Parts: sequence; C-alpha cells; structure tokens
Amino acid sequence: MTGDVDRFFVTLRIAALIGLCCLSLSACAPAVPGTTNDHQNVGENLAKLVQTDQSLDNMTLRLVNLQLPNLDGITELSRQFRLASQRLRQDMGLREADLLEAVNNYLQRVDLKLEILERIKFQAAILRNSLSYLPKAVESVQPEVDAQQQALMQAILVSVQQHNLLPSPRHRLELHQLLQDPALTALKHQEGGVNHILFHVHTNLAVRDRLDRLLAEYFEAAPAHELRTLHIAHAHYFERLADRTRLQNMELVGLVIALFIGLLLTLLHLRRANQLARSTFEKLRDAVESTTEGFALFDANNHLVLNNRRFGEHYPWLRDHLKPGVSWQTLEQLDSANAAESQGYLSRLSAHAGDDRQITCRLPDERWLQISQNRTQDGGRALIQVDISTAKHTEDQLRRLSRAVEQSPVGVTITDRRGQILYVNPHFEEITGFLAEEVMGRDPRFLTPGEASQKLNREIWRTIRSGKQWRGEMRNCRKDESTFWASVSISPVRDRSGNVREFVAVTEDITVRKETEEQLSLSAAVLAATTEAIAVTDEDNRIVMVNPAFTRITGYEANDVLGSNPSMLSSGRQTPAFYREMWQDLYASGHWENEIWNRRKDGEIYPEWLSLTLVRDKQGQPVNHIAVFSDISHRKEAEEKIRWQAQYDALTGLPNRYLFRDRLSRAVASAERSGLPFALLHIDLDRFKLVNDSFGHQLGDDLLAQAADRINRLLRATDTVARLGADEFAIILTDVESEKTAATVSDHLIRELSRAFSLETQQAFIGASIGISLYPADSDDPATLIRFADLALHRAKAAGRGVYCFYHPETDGYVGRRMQLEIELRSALDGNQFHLQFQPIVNAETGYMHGAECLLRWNHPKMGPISPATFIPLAEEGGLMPSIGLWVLQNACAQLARWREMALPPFYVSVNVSARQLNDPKMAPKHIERIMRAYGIPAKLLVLEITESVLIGNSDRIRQWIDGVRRLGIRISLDDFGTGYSSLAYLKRFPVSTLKIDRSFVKDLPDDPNDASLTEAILAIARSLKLNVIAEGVETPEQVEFLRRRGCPCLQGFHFSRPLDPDQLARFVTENTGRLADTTP
Amino acid sequence: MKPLSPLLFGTLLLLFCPPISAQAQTEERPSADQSPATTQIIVPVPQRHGQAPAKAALGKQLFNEPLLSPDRSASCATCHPVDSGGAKNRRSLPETQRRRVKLDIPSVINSRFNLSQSWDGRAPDLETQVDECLQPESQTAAGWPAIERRLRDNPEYLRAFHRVYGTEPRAEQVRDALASYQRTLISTNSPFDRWLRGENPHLDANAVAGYHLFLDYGCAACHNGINVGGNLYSYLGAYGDSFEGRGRKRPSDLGRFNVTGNPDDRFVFKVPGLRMASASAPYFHDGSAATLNEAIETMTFYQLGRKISAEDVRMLVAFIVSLAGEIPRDGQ
Repeated sequence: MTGDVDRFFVTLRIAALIGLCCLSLSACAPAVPGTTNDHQNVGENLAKLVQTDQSLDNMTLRLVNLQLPNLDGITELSRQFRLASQRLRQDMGLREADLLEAVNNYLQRVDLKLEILERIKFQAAILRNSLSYLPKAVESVQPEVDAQQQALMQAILVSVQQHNLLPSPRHRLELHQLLQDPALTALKHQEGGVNHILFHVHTNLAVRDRLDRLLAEYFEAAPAHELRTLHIAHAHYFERLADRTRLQNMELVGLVIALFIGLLLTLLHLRRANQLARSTFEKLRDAVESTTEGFALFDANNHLVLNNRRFGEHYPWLRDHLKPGVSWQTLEQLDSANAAESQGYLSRLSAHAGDDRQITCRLPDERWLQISQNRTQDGGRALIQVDISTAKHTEDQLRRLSRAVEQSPVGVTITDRRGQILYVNPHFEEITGFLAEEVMGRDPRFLTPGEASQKLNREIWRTIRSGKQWRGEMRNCRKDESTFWASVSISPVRDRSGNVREFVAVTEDITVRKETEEQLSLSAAVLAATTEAIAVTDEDNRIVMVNPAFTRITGYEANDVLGSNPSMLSSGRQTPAFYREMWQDLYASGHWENEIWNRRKDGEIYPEWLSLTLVRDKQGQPVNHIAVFSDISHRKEAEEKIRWQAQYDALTGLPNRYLFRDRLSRAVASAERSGLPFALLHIDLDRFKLVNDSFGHQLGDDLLAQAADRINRLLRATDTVARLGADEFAIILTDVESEKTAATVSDHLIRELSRAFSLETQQAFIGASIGISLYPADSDDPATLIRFADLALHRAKAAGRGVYCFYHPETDGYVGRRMQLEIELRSALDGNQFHLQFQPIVNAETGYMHGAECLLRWNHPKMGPISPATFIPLAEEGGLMPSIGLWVLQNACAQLARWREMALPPFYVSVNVSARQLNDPKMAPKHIERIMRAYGIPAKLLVLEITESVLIGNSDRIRQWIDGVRRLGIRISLDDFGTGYSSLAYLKRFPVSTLKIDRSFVKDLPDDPNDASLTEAILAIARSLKLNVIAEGVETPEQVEFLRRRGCPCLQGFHFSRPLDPDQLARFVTENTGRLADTTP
Repeated sequence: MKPLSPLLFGTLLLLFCPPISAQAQTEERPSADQSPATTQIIVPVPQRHGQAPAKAALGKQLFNEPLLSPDRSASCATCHPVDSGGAKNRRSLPETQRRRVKLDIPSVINSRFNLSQSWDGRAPDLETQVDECLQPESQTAAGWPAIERRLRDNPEYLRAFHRVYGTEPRAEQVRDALASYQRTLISTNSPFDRWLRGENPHLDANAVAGYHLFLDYGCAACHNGINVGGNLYSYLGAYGDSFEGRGRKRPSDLGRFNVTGNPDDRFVFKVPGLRMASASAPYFHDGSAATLNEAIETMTFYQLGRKISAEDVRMLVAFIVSLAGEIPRDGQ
C-alpha cells in the first residue's frame, strides 16, 4: 500500500518536472520563427523587382528606338520579371486578405504591362522590317524613275530614317511635306515600286504612331504604384504579426505561472495523501492485531514491516525477534536453528519466494498451522497463519469415513440438491463402467434411460424432495449400454439447519439375484405349463412336489400325494424285478426311462413314458428323484392308425399300392408253390375326372368309395383288391383257370361300374377300362406283370374305354417304348441328363445381342440326344412338366448368375413356361421370386415365354399368374404368335411385352406374299400396342433384310447363331456387343 | 491541471520539428545579359544545355514511352521524332492520331528558346506544355491518374523515379523529367553558327547571300535571336491579310486570341523559330505551305507586299538550311 502511494507520488513529481522543462523550452524559443527572415526576403525581392522593372523599361525604350538587334534579351527579361512577380505571391503565402489583394493587383498590372510589351515588340518588329526593307525598295525602283524623282525618293527615305531615329514633330512635318510633293503625286498614278515604297512609308508612320501610343500605355501600366501599396501592406502585416507574437509571449508567461500553481496544489494533495496513508496503515495494524490468524508483512527488501501478536504466539522461538525492520534472513536462521520444532517452514517458503504459496505444518503441541505466503504488489510478502487443527481433525475423520465409502462393496453416489453428481465411489465405477470424471456434474438419470425409467425417476424425486428415503429396484444402464438390476437406496443429507443439501444413493448390483429369481419363477411357470407330469421325491422317495400336469394325468391332487411313495401309482403290471432293475439303473447311470403302465385315481390303467433322473448334492449324495412322464395312450393309438394308413387307402379301406405290391409278391410266391395261375387286372375309371371336376372332390371321393364297394362285392375273399391311385384299382384274381375267367370277371366289373352312382341328390355315370396280365403266361415277375397290365389298360383306353384288354406283346410294344421313354424321362431329371442351350436374340439394326432364349436338351445315355418335340409332350402327359419346368428355370437362373459373375455385358434370358406349369403351384409367382432371389437375378434380366394358346385357356387364373409375374418386374413374351387364334383383345388384356413371330411365317419370307403381309400386320399391331417383336427362325440374309426394312426390332435364328452352350454364348456375347447392350427384349 | 493552450501546444510541436530546408531549385539557363545575345541579330545556339543527366535520361525514356497514351499506342516521339527535325508532318500520321492533332506539329528542338510553347503561346513554359499534351482532353494521352498508375505499376519506372526524385512517379516529376529532356534538345554548331563564331569561313556563299537578303528584306525584324524567331507574337502578314485568300477561317486561325481573348490578338501567332525549319515541313500553323520555298514566297509576299525573285528565294533557303545544327543524340 505504502509502496503504491510512493510510486504514485514519484510519477507525479516526474510528470511535473517534465512539464516544467517543456515550459521553459517553449518560453525560450522564438514565438514566430522565421518571420523576420521572411520579411527581409520579401523586402529584398521587392527591391529586386523594382530593379528588374526598371531594366525592362530601359530595354523597352531601346526596343522602341530600334536599338535591340534581337528580341531574346527583352523576352528573357520579361519572363524573369513575370516569374519574379509571380514568386511574390508565393512569398506572401497564405497571409492576410489585404496583402493578397495588393499582390493580385500588382500581378494584374504586371500582366497588363507585359502584354503591352508584347505588342510593342510586334510593332517594333514591323517598324524595323519596313526600315530594313525601304532602302532596298528605293533601290529597286531606280530604273523606273528619273533623277528628280529618285532624289525625292532618297529624301523621303532619309526623312523616314531620321524620323525613326529621332522622332520629332519637325521631322514628321518634313516627311509630310515630302510626301505631298507634286512629283510624287504624279508618280502615284503609275503602277509599280513607288506606290509600294509609299505604302511602306505610310505603314512606318502609322506603326510609329501606334508605338508611341503603346509606349504611353506601357508606362501608364507601370506597376510601381501597386508595388508601393504592396510594400506598405506587407509592412503593416509584419507589424501585426509582431504584435501577435508579443501577445503570445505574454500568454506563455501566464501559462507558466498557472502551471507552477498547479504543481504546488499537486504537492499539497500529495502531502494530504501521505497523511491518509499513514493513518490507514495504523488502522491496518489494529485490524491485523485483532485477527485470530497470525499475520506478518515483509517489504520488498524482506524486512518485517508489521506483524501481530498471534504470529509470535505460534512461533515462540521467534517471538522475541519479531520487531519491524528485522530481516527475513535473520528469522529464517532462527527458524532453522529450531528446526526440531519449526520444521524449517520459513526456508520452505524462501524456496518459493517468488510465488504465492501455501504450506501446512504441525506444531510440537499437535496443532496444525496453515501458512499462506502472498506476494504483495510492491514485491513484499504477507504471511498468514491459520490454526487448522479442528479442520485437520475433521479431515482425518472424513478420510476414515471416505475410506469406508471407497472400500464399500456397494456403489455410492452423492449428488447436490439439483441431482448433479458430486462424488461416486470406486465400486460405482465397477458396477456401471463409468469413470468418476465422466459422470461428475451429470444427472444420474443417464443411468436410467427410457420412458418407464422417467416415470420412476419422477417418483423418486417426489419422495426424496419431501425429505424421505427412497428404496427400490430399478434397471440401470452401464457405459457399454448393457443393463443391470440395481437395488437403490437414496436418502437426503441435511445440513445443520435441517435443509437438504445433498443426496446419497447406495446402489447394489442385484442382477444375479434378480436373474436367479426370474429363473426360478420361469422354472415354476414351465413346471406348471408343461404337459408332462413331473413329480419330485426326496431321498426317501417321498413325493415333495408335483405339477399340474401330474394332477391332470393321474387324477391325484398335490395334497393327495405329497409325502406319499410314488408306488401308490403302480398298476401292478410290472414285476417287482422290473422295479428293482429300474432302481439299479437309475442309481448306476443317474437316469432311467421306459414305457410303464400306471393306474389313475379313477382306477384306469394307462401307458406312460416315464423318465427318471437322480439329483445328487455336491458331495454326490442322492437328494432327489425327478420323475417326468407323459400319458402315451393317445400316441399308441395314433401309431396303430399310421401303420394302417401306410398300407391301406383311407378313402376306400382297400390296400394301397405298397401293400398291393407286397400282396402281389406273396401271390407270385404262393403261385410258384401251388402252380396255380392268377390274373392281374388293372382298372381305370373312365370319366372320373369329369365327375370330380363337375361335382367336386367330396362327391368324387364318395363315388370312389362306392366303386370300391362294388368291386369288392364281385370278388372272392381270396382275391385282393387295391387302390393304386386316384381312379385306378388293381385286382389279383387267384385260381384263374383260363383267360375266360378273367374276362368274365372283367365283364362283370365293367358292367357293375357302368351303373349309375347316386351321389347325394344326383346321379353320376362313369365307366371302367381294364388291362389284364396273366401269371405265368405273360410273366412271372411282379413288376413286369404290373407294367403289362398297365400297357393293356392303355390299349383298352385307346380302344375307346369301357372295354378290357389282355396284354399282347406285339401291339403293346410301341406303347411300351413310349412308356419306357416316360420312365426314362423321370429318371433323366435325377440322372443329370438334361442340359440347357441358349439361342441369341439380336438387335436387327446393330446386330448386338440383347438376350437369349433358353432351350432344354435331353441327352440320353444310351439313345443319344432326344428331340424336345418328342419328350416335351411325353413330359406333359406324364405330369412331369412342372418338375422339368422348375428345373429349367432354376438352371437358367443359375447360369445367368454365373454369366453375371463373369462380368459379361448384361443380357436377358427368356425361359419357356408351358400351359401345364401355369397351374402348378411350383410356378407360382412367389416361387419364381424366391428362385430369382436365390440367384440374385434382377427381374429385368428374366423373360418368361408363354404360348399364345395359353391365353385362350383359363383366362382368370392365367391373368392372375401373368399379373403376379409382371408385378415382380419380369416381362412376358408371347411365343408362336400368329399360330393360335388370339385376338387383339387378348393382347390388350394380358400385359405381355413382346411378341415372337413364329418361325413358320418367317420361313418363306420374303417370297410368300401371305406370310409377308401377315408379318407386316403383326409388326403394325406391335407398334400400335407398343410391344417389342422378335422374329424367330431367321436363317437367310434376305429374311434379315426384309424384317429389318419392316422395322422388326429383334431377330433370332440360325442366321445369327444356332443354340449355344453357356460358354459358347459367353464368347458370342463378347464378340457381338459393341456397347452395353440394351436389355429390352 | 489546466489544459495546455493550443498555442503552447503548437509551439511545443514546432520545437521538435526538424527545420524545413528551403531547397533552392536552381536551373542553369542562358543568361540574358551575355554580350552576343544582346548585340547580334542572330545568336549561336549555346553549346551546353545544362540539364541534370539523370533527369534528362528519365525524361527521354518517358518521351519515348507509349504507356502515356490511352491505348499505349503512341509516345511523345510519335509526333515529335527527335531524329527527324523534332516534328512530324501531321498528314503522315495514321488517321486515328491525325484526328487528334489540330495544328501543324511544332518542333521540340530548340523549343526551350521560345518565349512560350505552341502556336498560340498557350503554354508559358515546357512544363505547362507537357501538361497540355498529357491532358485526357487532348486525346493524345491517358490523363495523369492513369499515367501515374501505369508508371507505378511498372517496377522499372518505380525504381527510376525513386532514384532520380526519391519519390514514386507523380505528375510533377513526370512533367519535370519531360521538360528537362526537351531542354536538352538544342541544335548546336550549325554551319551558320560556326560561321558567326568565325569557325567556318567557308560557309556556302548562297547561305551568306541569303543571310544578307534575310536582313535586307527585314525578315530579321521578327526572326532573330538564338532560335531565329520564337521570341515574339506577330501577324502572319504585316502588310496584308494572309487569311484574305482563304475561303473559310477556322477557330484555330484566330491564334493568340484563343489565349488572351483580346480582339487585337486575332490572327496573331508566335513567330516560329527557323533553326530547324529546313527539317520540319510543312509550314505555318495550318501546314498550308508544303515546302520551304513556298513558305518563303508566301511569307515575303504578305510581309513585304510583293513577290521576290526565285533567286532570292533560293538563297534564303540556303541560309535557312545552314541554320540547322546537330542534335545531341543522347540528350547530353
């Protein structure tokens, strides 16, 4: 403080001194420097100007008297005069107005004078010109005139020269008289030189007069007067300037005096401030003395300025030396000397003399002192001792408590009143995964995200705000976002006045407990819900628990059986030895299960599947037995039923195909033994499908049952009737003596089955065809017998139905081959005999490949390649088409996927779909979609080709199918267009995108006019419906040309490529795609 | 504390300011009181031009600098080629430039000896003449702001101006440099001058005869001094109106009237110096005389009131030709 005041005074004093220096300097300096010099200059310049003016006047007089040989001199002098005059204006500078006016007046005069001078120069030149020229002129007229006239001319010349040399009225009169001379008058009338001379003489006279006038003007314009005025004005100005300077000097003296007074006042103020500082210091000392803290102040030189009594009390070993002025070093030495007691704290402070510092030390009497060393502004230091014994004690206490909290196995969180976290203990970090520094200041609600938790949080706050403790369980969130169950207890902490200051939350991770509980309740629920009966017995095999299913199965309530031995359930069906074995097994392996018969409460005996488990404690001692059993009486029945169903036809109760085969084998075996022949009859109900379609399956089934019944009634018990398929039956006729017997039975059967069947309110008529094979006449192999009977049946059907046929080896040969083929066809699919080929479809304009039609090929291992025209109809008849079609679609997609992996330019593949397939569930749009997905084929790369005739069939279902496929994004191409009877209406109705012109039309192009016009018509239709067109079977360049001319966009056929294997096609694509092909079909 | 009075403050300021040295700008100039200058009718051109070489060199560079013109197409030297008489025939200029030039182009050589510059004497000195030429209204130059900017943007000029003047290029310095250069353009040691000085006794007899005719016919009344003219204003036709013969009088024919506005100054022009006349055809303010012969015939007719003989004209021509001296090539 004192240092501050001192510095302030010193600064003031210096400022005042500087001020004084400036003052004295400025007082000494000339008030308006340079003015006198200026004045002198102007005076000199004016004098010089007067001189130049006079020189100019002199020169002008010489000019007028034609004494100047050239005009350079006068020109230069007038220039100097003008410049010197103009310089006056600069000299005067920005001075007073009257002075400026005087200068301007003067300069105007100068300008005027110089202008007149220029005219004088001009006139003088003319004058001189004429004077120079006159003698020559006079000389030149000599030949023209006589002597008298010549003399006159000479006289005039002399007179002119005299007049110009000494202009006087006398000379002028003389010249006039000469010019009036009558001789001259006479000459005037003559043309020539004389007149010329006279003209020059007159000019000379006129110019002379003009010069005289100009000279008068020139001297009149003399600026002497203005110069004088200027001089006087300048002198006045200078006087005024001097006056002003005197005034300024006086002002300065006044200012100096004022400054001195100011300085005195400042010194007075300084003195007062000093007194004030001293009294403040006294007050400070009193205040310091009265504080409970020890205080000592050292100045910048480390001398003690002030200390209070308390300071000494805390340091008895320094007490006697604490007097103002004592140095820090002295005290520090004393302190070190008493190091045992003082612990040398002054030295410790010394080490940090430059900073603010706080140290704590313990006094010998167990008291704690905190000593702060603070730097003062003037570089001294203040020491403040605070007795912190109590605080230290509390701190120790707290440390112990906090140790407890830190070590606590539960999470502890302390928040302020607003819920911001102030502290968490290490266990909290462990539980939650959050580090303490991450959660400081945050609201603990981040541990409980979610809607439900917010509600809970509100409830918690309500409780603890009202000062109550809250306990509960909640799900908390860890840092890694996993959750755990916590048991939380939150209680408010109050300060002394009873206000809630903080909240303490104790969190315990009870996840494990909670999970156990949940597990238990889950187990209980499972126990209750399971359909299997469960009973638990103790080590003495007394029932300790049963579940509801137990009650359901056995009929005993839990109360009835608890504490009882499970033997009470025994039915007595098992022997004691069985039970002995059971217990042995159980104790040996820990587990036993078997079927067992027990008795219900109501006495009913039932089968159960019993599973026993032995539960051992940790020491391996058996503690419980768990019996789990289910009532398997229903299962037993079901097993029985299944066995029957496997062999019999559910509808008719007749043996099915499998049992029939078995029976047939047995029949063959028995016939071999007995040597008795038998016949195999294969019956097919005619028109049954029609009945089924028109009356529905229900009645169809009814009819079949009746038919079976009728067949059965006609046969003996030894004969076997079986149902082979939908409307097919087979009969083994034993003891057939001759073909006739079989024929008779067949006749009866046909007749019987041709009678009306009453189906509810209606009557239905069917018929039957029968094929017959004989044992051993035809074959002794059961399978062959079946096949021969089947062939004979085919012939019977072909013969017009309602008849029976015996197997005939020659006639049935063809059918046999077909059938053989059909059989082969079935195995071809499994035997990997099919493969696919692809025929490119190209852009008619560019020749680039757009897509390829997928074609099925069958390569028979023995028969070689078989034409699709042969096997496709067979497949359709044999109902194989759906499977084959599916195979084709899957393999086409798989191939497409492989091509896509090869990163070929994209092209589409069109797959033929037959009419039969459309009705098949395997070809439902959702299945197609699944296949596409499986191979990752985009829908735009797949085209399905259907034949035109399909559209004419079941239009609603077709439409649904087409719509479904189109929705997937797959395009539909209409194959064989033009061969069917489809109308425009069909095309409009079904959303197909492409028409394929059948090869039969293309074949005779362009020669056949019908085909040509038909093709053109198709193209026109396609254009108007905005459909794409592909012409099939293009083989010649002429066809290509024709089709291209007619605007057919796409072509397919041998001209471009035969159907290709996949790798060949890949090559074709690379060679025939100049750019990314447009994939529009 | 009482605030310092402004007066005291000002005084204090003055105390600490360095004294402003009055730099006297001295320029050497042929003295008017030299004896030959005042005693001879025709005075030889002085041997020295007395210009500071650095300024003159910078001026020369500027004189040849197309950057000063609006489209950077033409320099001073375009109209005033120093090597060929210091004045171009107006008619030989390209069309675009000719349109900007109203009068016959006067020679820059020896122009320093003229009492003023330009036909009507509108520029009292060369500096003012530079100003006249470089004004944007003149259409021959880009105007001072543009010129200053262009020169500042040119590192070479920036350096040169700092070296010569210690400042960046400004109008005042450009004017000074150009004027300084033009003051170096004097034609020294002409055959006639050397004859006058007694160094060339074998001057062409025709020239000598022409000189005498020049005096006898009174030509020297106007054409005298160092520049053989250029030191007064005069009618074109002291004894006859030379404009009478013309159909139309243009404003530029009014001559000095355009400067002073004084009716007496109509048709008054500065008398042109004849030093470089032989090299700076055509003649008169409007360039109406294509050859020196024609100019002499016209001049003598209007000044004397009659024709002189062809013989006389020939001799006068020889005299005028002998007036032309050497032009310092490098401005030294």
